[in-house]
Amino acid sequence: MFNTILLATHGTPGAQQAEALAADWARKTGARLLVLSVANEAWKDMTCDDWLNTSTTRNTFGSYVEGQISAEVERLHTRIRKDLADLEPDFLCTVGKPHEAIAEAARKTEADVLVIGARQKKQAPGFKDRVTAKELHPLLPCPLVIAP
Amino acid sequence: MASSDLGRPSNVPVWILSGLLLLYGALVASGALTPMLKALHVHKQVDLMEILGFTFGGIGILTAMLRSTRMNKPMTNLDTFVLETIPGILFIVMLAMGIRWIAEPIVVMMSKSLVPVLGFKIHKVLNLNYVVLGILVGIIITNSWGIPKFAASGVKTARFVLKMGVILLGARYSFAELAKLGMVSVWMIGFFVLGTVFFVLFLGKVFKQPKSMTGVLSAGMGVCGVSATVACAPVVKARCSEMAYTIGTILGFGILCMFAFPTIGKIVGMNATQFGAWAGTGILNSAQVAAACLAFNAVDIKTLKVGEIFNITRVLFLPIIVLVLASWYGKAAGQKLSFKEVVIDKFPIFIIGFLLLFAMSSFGLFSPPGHYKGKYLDFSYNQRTEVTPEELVVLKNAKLEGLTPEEQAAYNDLVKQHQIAGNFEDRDNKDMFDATARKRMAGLESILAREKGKEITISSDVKSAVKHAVKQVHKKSKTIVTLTDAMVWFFAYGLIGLGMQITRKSIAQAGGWPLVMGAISGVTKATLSFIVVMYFVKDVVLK
Repeated sequence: MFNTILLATHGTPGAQQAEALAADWARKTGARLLVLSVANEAWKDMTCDDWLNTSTTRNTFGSYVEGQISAEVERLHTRIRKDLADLEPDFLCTVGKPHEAIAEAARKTEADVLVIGARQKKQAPGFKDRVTAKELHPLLPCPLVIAP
Repeated sequence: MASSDLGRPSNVPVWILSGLLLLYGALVASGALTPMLKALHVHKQVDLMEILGFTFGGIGILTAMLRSTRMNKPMTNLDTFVLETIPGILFIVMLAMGIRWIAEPIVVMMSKSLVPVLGFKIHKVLNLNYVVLGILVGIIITNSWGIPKFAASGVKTARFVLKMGVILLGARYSFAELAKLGMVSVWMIGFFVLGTVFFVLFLGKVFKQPKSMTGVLSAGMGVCGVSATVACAPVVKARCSEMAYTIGTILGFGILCMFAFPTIGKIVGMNATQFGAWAGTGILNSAQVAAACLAFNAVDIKTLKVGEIFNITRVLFLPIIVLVLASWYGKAAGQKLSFKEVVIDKFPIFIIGFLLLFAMSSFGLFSPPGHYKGKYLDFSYNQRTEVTPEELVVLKNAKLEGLTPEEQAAYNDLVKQHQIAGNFEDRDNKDMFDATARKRMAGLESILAREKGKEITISSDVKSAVKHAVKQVHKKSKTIVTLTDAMVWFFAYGLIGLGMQITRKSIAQAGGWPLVMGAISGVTKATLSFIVVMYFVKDVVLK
């Protein structure tokens, strides 16, 4: 039924529902599971209107943020690798606007289905930038499944 | 002129911008725009309009020509630092000109026409002068269409240009001013910076929040907003969400303060020193301190002078706070910071430039002997030479009796032109323009002399306004006047560019415990500093 299932997750409770659903379908269909994490490009604007610091300080901050994001993604991937060891998932990490990056990854990997978590009433801690249907749907190259 | 395959933005916008600037300069020079400029009350700035239009238009054409020869070629330093940067500079300059000479006057006119409906002048309440409008335009552009691709590199110069503005401001302080203001700012900043840092750390303990979060928040709330957050986040090992929440909270609070502080300051009747001290202490984000000071008074730079001393004091406190937080956090993490990481990397080099300009000015490098103590008279059209809007109302409503025809004519012209000057039509003939202005100044001085001799009676408000008008044309140095004009434009340019760095997504990050703790500490700091300023900070006589 499916050859490739693309799972977009950043590890929040809503995304963990998607992880479970994608894993279930991968087991049932024998499809390859591809786990996608997106580092939000809006982080590059987070120095905002800081003008007092030297460029050295701003560069240090930029490297530090990069390191923190990489560490967060690494922790997430380690957990998924452990939880879904039987599926031997592949991992992909990109930088960009979440909706554009997800659609681009689905196109490049020729995914048969994209699985994401449902919008939760209370947003989980982290960078606040929810993917909206209005932004994502027009870009989709494959069917989208939202795990409840 | 298509975009090259090397990712260079298109040259078309550069040709268009340059053409528009040249066209504007030509239309102003020909007098075709004079009726419109008179209607907008900006006609006195025509000389500057021509200079800026032709200069930047010319630079733009030259850049566009050079860029077209460089398309499809590998990028060199000349491309990166000059040819790809100038288009963004032209973009901001054009915005600054449009805001100052078109948008601001239109906003003022609309605001006045809405008085019968609203009952108040909305531009006064929201302090919508060219500085605030500039920041707002910057924020709107970046959050709607986005910064145009051709301007992206040039917009990054805003930080550098704002620092240049602060450096030029150094020429406007005397030893006495810097000593007095420096003393007040060191006391206030010392108390409130350290007080807020420890207060936030205390709140973190009360609310049982992680050290990394309270550490980064305490720096942001206590020292200089986003700048301090950027400097301290790696030191206290803040997590991504903690940094995002802190920056969002500080930005949101800063923008609210930018609008609220000047209005509150005016309502309670703060003087320039008091407002600069309050804004410099109570507003978290350093960019918004400069904006609030210019929103309070964009014509007279006294408020900015005070606010920037407080800003500079804050940034000088930053390495100290980094050290405090490093040792507070480092005990647990076992980390050690080097002298280079704390002091050298964090030291704001532009302050050396500020002190250099201050020293040069103090040793008289910009003021030849003949220019000292008001021997040099400047009648040229300049907003800073005008009386204040409040004084203008007093002068318009006053009914003076017993004036000679010369005195009456001088007085009438002061009401008409808002400053002592020659006739607008004679502005190209400097001798005639200055001779008329001197005659008018003599007329006004005669009014003051006769009032002193009790020959005529005028109210103290009118006397004060006339005295101010006379004082405004007495300048110490032509160089200082030029430096100040450049500085005001640098600030306007820098703040438009910084407005473009404020994204909706950054502000939307405000939330979590940083929002709760930030709101408590921010409001406490603003309230306490307001009380201290109102009761303990006296006016400092500024030149």
